[in-house]
Amino acid sequence: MTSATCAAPPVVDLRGVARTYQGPSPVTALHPVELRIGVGEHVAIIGPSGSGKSTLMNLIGLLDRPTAGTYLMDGVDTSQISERDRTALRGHRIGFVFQAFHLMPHRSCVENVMLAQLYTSRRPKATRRANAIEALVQVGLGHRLEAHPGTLSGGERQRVAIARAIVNRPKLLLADEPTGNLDSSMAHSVLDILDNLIADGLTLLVITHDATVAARARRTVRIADGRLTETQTGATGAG
Amino acid sequence: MQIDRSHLRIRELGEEALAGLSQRPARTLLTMLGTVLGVGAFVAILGLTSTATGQISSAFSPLSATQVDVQDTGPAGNGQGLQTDSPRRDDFPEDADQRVERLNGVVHAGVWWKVHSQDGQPVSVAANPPNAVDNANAESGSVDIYAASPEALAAMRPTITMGRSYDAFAENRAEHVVVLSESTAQRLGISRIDAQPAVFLNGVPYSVEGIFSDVNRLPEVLLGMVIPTTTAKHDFGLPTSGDPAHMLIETRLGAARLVASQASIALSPEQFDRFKAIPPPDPHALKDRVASDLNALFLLLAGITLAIGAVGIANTTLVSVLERTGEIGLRRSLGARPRHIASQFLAESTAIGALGGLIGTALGVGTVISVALAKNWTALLSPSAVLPAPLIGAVVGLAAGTYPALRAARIEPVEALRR
Repeated sequence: MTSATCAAPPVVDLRGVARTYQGPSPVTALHPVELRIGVGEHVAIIGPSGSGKSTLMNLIGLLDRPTAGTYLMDGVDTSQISERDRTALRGHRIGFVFQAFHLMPHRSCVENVMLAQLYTSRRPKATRRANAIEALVQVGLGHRLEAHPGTLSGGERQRVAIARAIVNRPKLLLADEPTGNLDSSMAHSVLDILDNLIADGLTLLVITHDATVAARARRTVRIADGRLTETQTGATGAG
Repeated sequence: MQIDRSHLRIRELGEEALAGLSQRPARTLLTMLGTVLGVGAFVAILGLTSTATGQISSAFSPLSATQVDVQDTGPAGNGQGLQTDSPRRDDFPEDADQRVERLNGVVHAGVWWKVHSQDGQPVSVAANPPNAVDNANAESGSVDIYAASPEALAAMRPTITMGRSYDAFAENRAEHVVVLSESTAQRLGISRIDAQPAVFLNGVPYSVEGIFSDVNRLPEVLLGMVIPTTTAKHDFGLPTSGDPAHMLIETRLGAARLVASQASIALSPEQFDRFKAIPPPDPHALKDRVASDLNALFLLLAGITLAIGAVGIANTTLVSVLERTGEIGLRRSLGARPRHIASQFLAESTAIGALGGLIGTALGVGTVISVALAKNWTALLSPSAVLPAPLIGAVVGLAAGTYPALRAARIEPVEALRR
């Protein structure tokens, strides 16, 4: 993995990014935002539902385009590139972890993880399978490679989803309420795995409304009514 | 841009589509049903009609499909071919039989005509000499006399029950020989020929060479008798313009049309519209006519079934797009472009259509074969009807999947992942 160097651009660099939903009465979901996340950082965005968390996550994840401002993703100005390149950037440099897991129920763990390489990797299938197994081992599921998601616990399912998110070795891991559907013990195991990934040099952005999840991050950004307020917390975790 | 753009290999697209279909096998099979029935009906109808018309043509083929009739159209400058000043003529060359028999595909070829006596009176036919007792048992008028070369007689395919037909020797020597039909022999009281009976035509004795019970061609001779052409010319003169000479040609199966086109040239190289050779009706033209009459309605029905099948595929694919919105969002987040999403659903609907078409084709072929076996027919399936049939299913699936695929491609990943 690339380690943080002085020359490396921030993974996420939001410059006055805003998002307004057009309509009879336009709604500003996100007021102009300045946010920089460097390589290897662990940032939590915390806020109540309806605060604009999801809007921010969609913008950072290149699933949505801002209505104002500039977003540099890993040094690439995403407002200047085509939709096709945005899609490629999303596939290669961003890994998504969803609250609802979004696993394919009829496919085994390995097949679910391999799906992430379908559109991005030009390597042969055997190599992709080996990569998928490696990612599953990394999240502690080396013993359930051929299991189907239906036979897994919630925590295990989220770990499969994490393996899928990291198999392409992205720069940024975007986790949207990663523990929202899990009980506390499972949540802990999932959060531990995410902590380990940061130790390996991955940049992690967790979006949550759960203070205990946010407490693990070194930086916490509060969002309310579409406005960011950063609180520098000397949180727990590796440093 | 240093980023490797998203892609999807054809093979992997196929694998994704098959994986999508195999998730819900029962639904996939039910969705196929319309295409199976449509394509199956299509193949079965085309196969059954071609099989049935094949039986029609094979019923008439062995006899009439191998027969060519050559008519004399009269000398040049006389369109009618009827010359009042010379009512009797025979324009077939002396070696007409040999000329035509040299053609490839000819089995027998010979000249024949109906004999009329010189004075226009009916020829008297009797089993006894004219002045033996009286003319009581003399038959006249009601017995037809035909002149035919030995080859023409052979081309009639007579079933000889007694004796034999006359040969080229009798023809060349203008022998007074005759071959009787069974009914004529009965009327003349001739039941056996080992006593070498004779028939008196206008008082001239003809020895009976043989008796035939049936002919395959020229059934009119069943009510009469046949004598050599040379003898007929000697005793009764040339054929009249009312009953001109014809040539009867028996060909090998399939050669009739070719022989017909060549025979008139062989007979009259200097003026080849002098003789008109009439081939049997073209079996293809006949088959096509029968088939098109039969097909139109059933094919319309198959088309409607196919359309219903297409609607079924479109419906199921649309439902599956809506069901799998989350999957679409996930794939988009993993780097899939809208066209990758569209091509996946298109591939699924096309696979359903193609598979349905394949099953339908198999069922259609099976239907044709079992019907043919049950009726003791020869199953006739044209490759041009059977081979494209699965393709029709695929095209139906492709067309049916277009709208749902476009819908799927237009789904915003943000919306899709919200579920």
